[in-house]
Order: sequence, then C-alpha cells, then structure tokens
Amino acid sequence: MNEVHMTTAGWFFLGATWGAVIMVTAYCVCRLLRSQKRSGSEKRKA
Amino acid sequence: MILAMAGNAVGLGNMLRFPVQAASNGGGAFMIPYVVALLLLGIPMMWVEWALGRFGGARGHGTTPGMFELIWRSRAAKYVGLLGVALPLLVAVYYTYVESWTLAYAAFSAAGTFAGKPAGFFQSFFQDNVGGVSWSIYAFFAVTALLNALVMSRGVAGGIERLAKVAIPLLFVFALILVVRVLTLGAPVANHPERNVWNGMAFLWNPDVTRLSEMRIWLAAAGQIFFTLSLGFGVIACYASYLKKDDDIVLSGLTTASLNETVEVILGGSLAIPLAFAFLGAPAVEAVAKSGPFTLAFVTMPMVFQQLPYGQFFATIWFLLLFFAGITSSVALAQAAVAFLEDEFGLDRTRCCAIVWSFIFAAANVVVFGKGVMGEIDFWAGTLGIVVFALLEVVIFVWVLGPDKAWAEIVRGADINPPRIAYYVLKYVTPCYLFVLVAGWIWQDGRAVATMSQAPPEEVPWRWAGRGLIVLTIAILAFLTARSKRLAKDDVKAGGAQ
Repeated sequence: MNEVHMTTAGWFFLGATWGAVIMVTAYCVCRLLRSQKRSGSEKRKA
Repeated sequence: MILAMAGNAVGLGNMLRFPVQAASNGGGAFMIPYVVALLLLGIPMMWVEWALGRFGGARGHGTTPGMFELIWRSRAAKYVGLLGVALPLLVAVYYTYVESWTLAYAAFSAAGTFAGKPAGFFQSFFQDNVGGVSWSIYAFFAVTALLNALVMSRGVAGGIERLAKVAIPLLFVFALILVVRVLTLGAPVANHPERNVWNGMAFLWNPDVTRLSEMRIWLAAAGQIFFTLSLGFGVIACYASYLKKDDDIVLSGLTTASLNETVEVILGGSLAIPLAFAFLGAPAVEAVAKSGPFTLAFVTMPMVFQQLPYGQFFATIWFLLLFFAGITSSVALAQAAVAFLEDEFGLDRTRCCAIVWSFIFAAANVVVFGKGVMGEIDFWAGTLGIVVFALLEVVIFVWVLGPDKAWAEIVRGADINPPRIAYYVLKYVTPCYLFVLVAGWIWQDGRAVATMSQAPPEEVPWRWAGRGLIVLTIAILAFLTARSKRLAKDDVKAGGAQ
C-alpha cells in the first residue's frame, strides 16, 4: 500500500465502524445495567 | 460473569492480531467481510455457546463432553465433545508462553532495560531472548503459569471473576491513556510532517475494494472473528454453565461481543499501526504488516516507545495492558480442563488446577525449545480446530436438539428479542458459512501445512513433536472421558433412550 493519506473513503469506513461499535456497545451496556438494577430491586422486594 | 466473558474474549488478538490482519488484508475493505462474519458467524455462535453452556450447566455438566451427550444420544457424543476441552488446553500451552513475554517486557520496560537503546537492539533482543531460549524469559513463563494456577485455584467467583473485575477496567484505562497519547501526537518526526497518526490510520481504514474478490480476505476476516470472540473453544459454554436457568443470554452475549469489538476496532486499531507509522514511516509499517503481530508487539513497539517522551511509562502500561488481556484469556482457556476434572471425576479444585497447570507447563517446553511448534499447534488447534468444533457445536445444538428447541433455549429469559431473521441465520447460514470456512482453509493452507512443504527443514522434527503433543493430549482426554463414571452413567441413559 503506497497511499499514506487518509482518503474520504477511509474516513467513511472509520466513522461508520466506530459509530456503529460505540452505539451498539452503549446500548447493550445501558440495557444490561437497567435490567440488572430491575432484577436487583425485584429480589429485594421478594 | 459478563466481565469474565469479556476477559475471555479480549485477548492479545485484539491489540496485535487485528491491526496486522486489517493492514495486510485491504485496510477498510477488510471491515466488510469482518462485519459480515461478525453478524453471520460471531453473534449467532456466541448465542449458541452461551445457550449450550446454560443448558449443560442446568443439568450438571460444565464442559462440552457432558453437554454434547445430553443433546446427542450417542456413545460418540462425549468423544466429539472432548475437543471442547482439548482445543483450549492446547492453545493455552503456547498462549501462556506468549503471555509471559508481555510480563517480561513490562518488567524490562519498567526497569529501564530498553532506555536509550538503538533501533537495531530490539530485533536481536527479541531473537535472542524469545526466539532462542533465555532463562530470564523462562523464569517469567514459570511465574505466569503459577499466577494463572493461583487465580484459578480460588474458583470461578473468587478467582476468575475477581481477576476480570480488576484486569478489564485497568485494561480499558491503560488503553485509553495510550490512545489519547497516540491520537494527540500529531507528526512527531520534525522533518516528516506527512507522518502523522491520522495518516497512519490509512493503513487500517483506506479501503482497497479490489481485494474483496480474494477468498483469502474472507477467510482471514472470519478467522479473526473466531479468534477474537474466543468462539469454537468450548470456553464460553464452560463459563455459561455457571448461569442460572433463566439468566439472559441474548443481551449478555451481545454485550460481550460489543465490548470486545470496542477494544479491538477502536482501541486496538488506534494504537500500534498509527504509532509505528508516525515514527517509522510507511515502509516500516508495510514490513510489520508482513512479519506479523509478534514483531509489532515486541520489536516495533518497544523501539517506538523509546522515541516517545515518557516512553518508559507508556511502554510499561502497553505491556501490562497486553498481560491483562492475556491472563484473563489464559485462565479461561484452562478453565475447561479444570471443570472437566472437577465435574467428571469429583476432584477438588486445587488439585485440578495443579494437574492442569503442570500439564500446560510441561507441554509448553516443546513450544519453548522447539522452533515451529507454536505455528503447528496454532494451525491445527487454534485455527482449523476451533472452526471444525464450532461447526460441530452448531450442528449438535441447532440440528440435533432441533432448531425450534434451540431457539427457545436461546431466547428464554432474554431481555431483548432478537429479530426472527436471526433464527434462520442460525439454522441455515451459520452452519453453511462454517462449512465453507473449513473447506476454504483446507483448500488454501491444508496441504502446505499437512505436508510441511513450506517449513524450514530444521523445524520439521519439532513440528512432528507438536503434532505428537496434539495427539497425546487428545488421547489422554479420550482415556479420561472413557474412564469417567458420570459420563458412562449418562451413556447408559442414552442407550436406554435410544
């Protein structure tokens, strides 16, 4: 590979992949924490 | 458990293997087969292994020989399942040795061994101490094996989960410190303003779409997904056997995969290659991409850190980061064998850990002293073996148990409902994809590896020793499987059911 400058396509791939990974991870972690909190409070009630 | 699973998935491959694979397989274009493999192989297989583990654990079996026997009512099932103990054990043999290099290099970096050394020093240091046999590296290997055994002897909750709770957050903190340092570096070499880290990213992200027609790239991407998510080792199933009957696995599996991808794509992709480019330029990065992840980690990176202000500190946290990534994976690799001895022979955990780690330490001597053995075991167990075993897992779990029952098992207790298309992907696409992968690897590399046609002549006897080790490990486990009274009892039940 002789190209040593980020091309527009390179920025697109970087942005799309990083964006998708960050969004999915944030969604999963938030859902998981919410569900753990919910199951914790259900256990305390029981 | 999520952190322990993430610890299992996040390993040396995230920081070292991924950037090298991406840089040498079409840059951004590599991400297309990579994402396809993640969606069609990675996530479905993750759910299969989690579900298989929870299914087996609820019925008293923590490893795949017992799990397979529960589903597939055949006397062969437990022998097929023993691959889920043998493969991670064999990979642990060389993986722990590589992990010990990271501990050694962290100690050398902290002690200032590399300070002020010229560029040529690092290649010869690596060749003499790691490529050859160095007693200091051997001592670090002994310490690493002992640390692993000590962590594991404290149990899953008290040892492995506690390690993950400390190591994974530390790994994220170290990686973030390094990423911030790298991304704010600009162009560190005064007379080369074009050598900045963002242009270094071009090696990973500028897409060379013409390469997409090459079968090699699709195989490399699928292999990376397998290795990075630790699929096909039987380890995820082993960890998942500790879950409760209705614990969620859909969201948990997805979270584990996404945390792993964050470390791999965002953190792993932003460190080594851009940093090496900024200091050494394009020809050096092209050479690194060809020579592989070990050169990147143990030659290029220490060399680059010497040119960075506070390089001693950054080098230390780089190698500690790799060590944490390594140890959370090596305890997982050894866990299947420990659980197998515990479950099927009723031995206490301390004794199981002593047996398993003594075996790993003894077997690793073949890797330490024999050139080419690591590559041999890596191909048969860590590359081809895991894909073959994953194919067996998906066929047994989805097709032998029944697609509807398997799907019901996966979604039971789920916090999020996976789309219905995932059912068809699991039923048809994933097994076919795996079959193509196995065939592709055999077609592409199988003959050359099997006949050792490309191996240097001096490595051939050692490579045969490596194969002997693989056969011996499987033979010992087959003997133990045959001797297990618990598995034999299930066998009788299986015979009755038929």
